[in-house]
Amino acid sequence: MSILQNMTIKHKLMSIIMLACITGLVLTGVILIVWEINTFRKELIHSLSTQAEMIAENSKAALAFQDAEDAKQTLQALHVEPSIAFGCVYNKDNKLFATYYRDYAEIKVHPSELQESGFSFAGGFLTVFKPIILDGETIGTVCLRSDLSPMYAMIKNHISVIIAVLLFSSLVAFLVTSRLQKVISEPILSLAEVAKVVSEKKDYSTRALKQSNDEVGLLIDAFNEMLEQIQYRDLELVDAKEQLEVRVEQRTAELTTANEQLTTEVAERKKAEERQAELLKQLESANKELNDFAHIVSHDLKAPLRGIKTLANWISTDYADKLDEDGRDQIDLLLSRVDRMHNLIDGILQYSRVGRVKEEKIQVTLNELVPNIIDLIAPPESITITIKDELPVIECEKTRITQVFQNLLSNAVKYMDKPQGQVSIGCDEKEGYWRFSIADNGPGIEERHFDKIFQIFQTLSPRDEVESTGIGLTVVKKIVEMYGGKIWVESKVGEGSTFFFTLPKQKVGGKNAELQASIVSRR
Amino acid sequence: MRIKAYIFVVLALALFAAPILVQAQDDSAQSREYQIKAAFLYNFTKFVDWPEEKMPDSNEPIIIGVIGKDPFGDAFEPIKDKPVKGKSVIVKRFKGLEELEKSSERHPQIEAIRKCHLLFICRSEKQKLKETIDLVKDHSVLTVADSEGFLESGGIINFVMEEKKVCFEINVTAAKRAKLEIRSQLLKLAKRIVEEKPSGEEKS
Amino acid sequence: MRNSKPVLLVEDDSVDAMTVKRAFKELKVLNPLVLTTNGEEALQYLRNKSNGKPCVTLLDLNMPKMNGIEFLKIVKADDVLRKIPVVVLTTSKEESDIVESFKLSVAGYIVKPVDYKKFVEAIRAIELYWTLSELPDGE
Repeated sequence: MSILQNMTIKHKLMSIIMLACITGLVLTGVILIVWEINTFRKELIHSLSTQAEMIAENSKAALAFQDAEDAKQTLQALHVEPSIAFGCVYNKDNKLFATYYRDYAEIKVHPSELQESGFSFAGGFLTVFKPIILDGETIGTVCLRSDLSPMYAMIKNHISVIIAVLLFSSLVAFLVTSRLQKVISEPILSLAEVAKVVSEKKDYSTRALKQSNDEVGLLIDAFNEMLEQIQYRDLELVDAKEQLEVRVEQRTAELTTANEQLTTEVAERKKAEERQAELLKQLESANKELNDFAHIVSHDLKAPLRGIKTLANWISTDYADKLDEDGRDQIDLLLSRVDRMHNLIDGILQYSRVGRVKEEKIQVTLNELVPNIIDLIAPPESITITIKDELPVIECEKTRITQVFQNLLSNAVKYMDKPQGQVSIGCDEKEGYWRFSIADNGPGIEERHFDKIFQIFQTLSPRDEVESTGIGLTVVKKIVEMYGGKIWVESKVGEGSTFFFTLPKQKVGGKNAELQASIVSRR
Repeated sequence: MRIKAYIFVVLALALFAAPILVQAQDDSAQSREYQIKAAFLYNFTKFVDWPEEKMPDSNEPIIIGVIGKDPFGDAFEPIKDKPVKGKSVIVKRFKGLEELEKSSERHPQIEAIRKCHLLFICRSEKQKLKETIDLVKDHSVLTVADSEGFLESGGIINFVMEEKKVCFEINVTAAKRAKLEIRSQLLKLAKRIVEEKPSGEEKS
Repeated sequence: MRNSKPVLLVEDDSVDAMTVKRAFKELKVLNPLVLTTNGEEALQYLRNKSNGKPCVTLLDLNMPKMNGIEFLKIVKADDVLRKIPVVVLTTSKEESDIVESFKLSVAGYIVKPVDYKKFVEAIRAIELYWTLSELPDGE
């Protein structure tokens, strides 16, 4: 089968057709021969039977009258038929009555083979028996034996003829097939050829030639259509590729530009960061300088104060008896002024520290801290400080928030003018911030002073009445604003004041906020 | 010398024995001869066609008459029941003409004889051959005998012996005269065919 | 303090010096008080072999020309001089000053109280301590 499969179309077609033809012819031949043989046999039987009958008829009298000679003569007529090898007449006792032999060789029929009538093919002979019936009585049997030479001759003849016909027909079939197979194979071969060309040269513009309207034609049509589509797609692909290339170039260019931009940006950012770091460093060093400066200044400013105080003390001690009341008062005033100076210097130091001293921001539970501050302040019994709202936990520097509350509360206590002082601390939670309030029923503040009180060294009472540095609120303001909050006061003279300050909820970046605050405070 | 003597003795014995043997043989041979002849008579009826009036299509039997001294004995036994042409066969025996003429039944007998299809005239009637033949002429009787000169006397079939074989000869003219058709098959078996010349001369 | 040995005071502020002097008087401290106004003077005194070695030095830190820390460094580098215990007596509360001083093996660090009375108390403490404490014998 595989041999068949691997042949070319042409050979396949021819082989198949030839095979079919030859098979048909051979079959025909065989059937013919068989049929002929059959017919021939029948004819032979028939003719021999007929001859036997004739002999029988003609031998009746001879048998009846026991004239063997006559019977023999009748039998002699058989020589006309050369195929009859033997003929005989048996009498009713199945004994040979008369015989005929074609050749001298005796081919007797054995008694065991004797039949009354009928025929048999055996041993290359046809033997026919016919009863000789005279008036309904079988008086003998005729036996004729014919050899099958004519049949064999006929078979031989037929076979030769058939073979000749076979060969001839095969030849003709071959010629016809080899011409006509082109009808099928040519279009296929040409298609195959085109396909080969297409696949080798990738030339999609070629087309196969449609030669017939059968399935091959359909195939060719489909093939051509495919090629067309491929060609079209190919062109589209090329197109798309070009477009893509263009786009890619564009994008690349864009990307390159973007990249460059990015690189520049990154460089710039880096520079900015470096600058920032530098600035920070500068700031830190400036801060440190300032810190040191403040310290040195305060220290150096304080030193003479100490001296003055000491000397004043000594004078008041050593020469107390030499001084009159005025003198002692003056010395006292002198001392008090020295103290004031001290405080002012401390105040400045304190104020300058705000925003420069680094401290960790932690979660401060105000509900715990504020009562501590209240204890620290230790207000007198006439003043009650209450926390009216739940205070939140905020993230801040502990000392700073302490300062805020401490300063505000101590102010409220310090300036209380009512016999029953009431200070209440409140907190409102708003969107994004808390609003704290310290409300007192103190003397209140005139509206025109609302802003002034937050300025440094500004006091509302004469210094001799209430000893105040005047920096408390300033510090508070600085701290609050450092956190990004706001501070203001609402007040009614004679009834009391409420100081409000807000603290934002989000944890604004520590450093930046500090930076901002310190920049703000520097102005 | 002694051998010769022996031969002589044997020959002498043979000579003496011979007639006996021959006789014995003759006897058996004779019975066999007539058996065959009987069979032949039967077969003759098969190969001879009588005219319509003599042998109509009816079931009337075919009569074989034997006139004279019956030599057949029981030769007809084996064959008497076998039909011929679909008819049964009766064998009748008749006395010879000499006796018949003396008999009172002459006429009926003669009628009966004339009714035979085949009449075998025995050798005993040798002297009266012609008369017997004339007796049945015009009656379509197939006359058969085994006597010499039967055919010349006008008989139709005559048995002859040839080398111990039973053969027969046929007078076709006589057959024609008797309006009998003898089939060619039978004719060709005859050893001798006799045709009478119109003038009465015989031609063989 | 051993009565005989002087106490070296290194202090530039005259008022502060007077305060020490006054305190000594009040506390009836018998040790002579050697007054130097800056580190250099103090060193000169110490190096002068004719001067008696002080039993303790009271050192101020903020001084002109050579401040206390510088003085300390030099004294403590000197094999002989470093045996003399030094008590820093200064206004500075700075942690850095304290650390630096103790790094330089000062025997004590006292912040001058503003109040005179307290000052005297401090001096008394120093006196008590150095009276009790053993000092190495100088040459």
